[in-house]
Amino acid sequence: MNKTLLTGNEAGAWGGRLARADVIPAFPITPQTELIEAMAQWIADGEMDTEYVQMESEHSVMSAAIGAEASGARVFTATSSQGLLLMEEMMYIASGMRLPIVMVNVSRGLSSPITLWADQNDVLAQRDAGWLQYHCMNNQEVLDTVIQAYKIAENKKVLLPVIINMDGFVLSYTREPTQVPEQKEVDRFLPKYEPTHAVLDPEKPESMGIVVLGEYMRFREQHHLAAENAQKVTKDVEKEFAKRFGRKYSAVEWYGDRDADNVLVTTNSMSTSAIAAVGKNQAVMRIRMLRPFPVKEISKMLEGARNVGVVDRDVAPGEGGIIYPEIRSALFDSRKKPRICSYIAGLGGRPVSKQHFEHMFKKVTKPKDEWIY
Amino acid sequence: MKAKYRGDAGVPVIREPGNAAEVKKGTWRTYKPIFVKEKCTKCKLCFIYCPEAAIKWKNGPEWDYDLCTGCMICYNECPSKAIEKKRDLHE
Amino acid sequence: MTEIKTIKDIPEEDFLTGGHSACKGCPGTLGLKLALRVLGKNTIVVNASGCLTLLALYPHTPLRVPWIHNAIENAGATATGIYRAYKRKKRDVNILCYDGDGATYDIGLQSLSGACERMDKFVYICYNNEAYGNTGMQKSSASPYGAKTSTTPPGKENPIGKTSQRKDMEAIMAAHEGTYVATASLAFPVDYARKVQKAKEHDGPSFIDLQAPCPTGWAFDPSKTIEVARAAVMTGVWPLFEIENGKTTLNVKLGKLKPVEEYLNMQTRFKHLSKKETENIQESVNKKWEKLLKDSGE
Repeated sequence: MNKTLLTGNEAGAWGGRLARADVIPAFPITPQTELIEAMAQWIADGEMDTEYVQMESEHSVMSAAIGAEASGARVFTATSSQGLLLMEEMMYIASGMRLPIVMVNVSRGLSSPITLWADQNDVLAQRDAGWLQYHCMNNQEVLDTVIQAYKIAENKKVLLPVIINMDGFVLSYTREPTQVPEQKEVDRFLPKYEPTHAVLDPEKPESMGIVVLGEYMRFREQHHLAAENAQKVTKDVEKEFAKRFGRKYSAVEWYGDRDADNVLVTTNSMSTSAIAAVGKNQAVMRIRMLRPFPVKEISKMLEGARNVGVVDRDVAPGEGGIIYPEIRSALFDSRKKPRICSYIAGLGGRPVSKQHFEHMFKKVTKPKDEWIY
Repeated sequence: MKAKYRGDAGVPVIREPGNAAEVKKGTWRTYKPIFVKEKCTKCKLCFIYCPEAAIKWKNGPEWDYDLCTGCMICYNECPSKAIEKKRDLHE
Repeated sequence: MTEIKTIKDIPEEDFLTGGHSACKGCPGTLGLKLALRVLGKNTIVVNASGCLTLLALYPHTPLRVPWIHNAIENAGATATGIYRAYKRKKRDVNILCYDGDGATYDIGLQSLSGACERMDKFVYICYNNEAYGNTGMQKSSASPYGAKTSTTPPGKENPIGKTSQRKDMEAIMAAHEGTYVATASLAFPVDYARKVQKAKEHDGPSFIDLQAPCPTGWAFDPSKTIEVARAAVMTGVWPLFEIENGKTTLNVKLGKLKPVEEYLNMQTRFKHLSKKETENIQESVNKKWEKLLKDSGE
């Protein structure tokens, strides 16, 4: 199929369709609604064969996702900001039960005050929930990452749910040229989900979601080890994906001079504006995989830099940018530490343009925390 | 020392159905139901009412005293007084 | 399977063993044991947080069928997920949601209502001890008027205890078209088993409200569990009826109701009530009974 113009929502929907998701529980929330509507239309037109069920809340969406995945079905769903936070309790349960659900989050700033536009506070609130996290820069990456996510999640060394983030409005409603892979190519890449670790089946009765006193810590350690295994599994899957589909991704990506002095660290869609602003002796480091956190890659890549500005499209009031301390901590043991500061930009979907990044590249030569308006 | 990833075994799921029956809950007893076979009419009510599934039905009730907690529901409900109540000191 | 009319018709194979952590004389586990005898091997149990969550306590489980505990408020939604996954696999399975009244009447109402509106096929049995039992008998909206609970204790300022009436859950569930609704009592096990079987065969959601007199919470000797359940039915406090397609059927027809004191005096949770309050309760029980007789065309 040739490249076609797809919105981020359509790209996400295509990912779930090509991955042959068995059960799709859904609940509408701006700016995700178009994603679940696209799927409903495909199903009505006979183009997609799946069990699609609209639930009565996002909390119930994740509950149904857990019930279905625990029964051995491949589950896909999507949500955004308030909805993601409503299902927060269930996020921990899904990952603690080791169910490889894949969910697209259409990033939107959190109330209160109410906004409909993009920022990352919603997805970053899930960092501790035990899910894997991938952040996408463009619609092609959203589609590709959904497909890769199932392969990573269902790997026996991982068995964890995955959240794939895309910015609301900026990506979700914007049409970009996107290559939709052939179904048979995806079928060759992605085998059927055949779980052995947790299945509700009267033929082989198991008790799941059990109470564990004392030994809880050991199970949580296994969970942590599984998330760490995802570092290598992600690399392997990205490698195989590049071979089959010709598009390369990696956990941390570098754009610009390899030995640039001035580096801005970004995630998600604002990265494209940052990359457009890159000049001499400047570079952008984009983090694509946030959980598991790629400490080695980050500390290695930033070793040679002199000035680093971490651009957060989010804020933890009382501390500052959320990704900033994670980067700072990754550099703590480095021999050559760059000077580092935090830029907070684009909250509530406030535009972060090429001009903003040119401004930041100038300011980062004397790194100082700043809110960029 | 860092633990090793244990795969499926590290997932919190119990894969031995009904293994709670190994737990000797009979130690909870302060009273013990004693069967008086001659009076039994095989109405099956005790087999219905036991919350611990400690009464099995083999053409008549049979008590598994490892599982019987001595709640005495069977004694209280037996319509033919075929169950007696005895103090259990676990001697 | 033939309709269950006598004890002999109830299957004998057990899918719940003993040795679990429930209290002596627990009606909740008894209700689950009987339900599983009727539903059989091809059943998946969905449990919401409550007393029975502790049944599956690592490394032991008394369940000989698959069991999933998700959270406190989402048994209905979890049942939907399992139902849809099995539909996709083109396999038949009985889905039993077995949850307490707190998880059903209160926090899980949304999820249950949603699942009924979607017409997913599952059997939902609420083991109703009229409080949040596992956390120490706090009030739930299933707690009756006048009940002493740990969050509605009677005292100088409030001599009544719980001052609001119990939620009419059966009316709420009957408002979902296509849902089979029934009340049940462990003192009438054949009636209960018959209803579980009916629910199993019903092509849609079913809701069975099983009163579970709790020896630990209501304070009576564990041996009296069935006796208290019987008194609840005979005094008209827990009438046994079914609602199908808008039609109410009374299952246990009582000539004259026994006086409500017979039931209230068996439990410590009503001991604080004055004579006037007991008369109030008798009046509301009578009124409810009259309405039930009218609705069922008796």
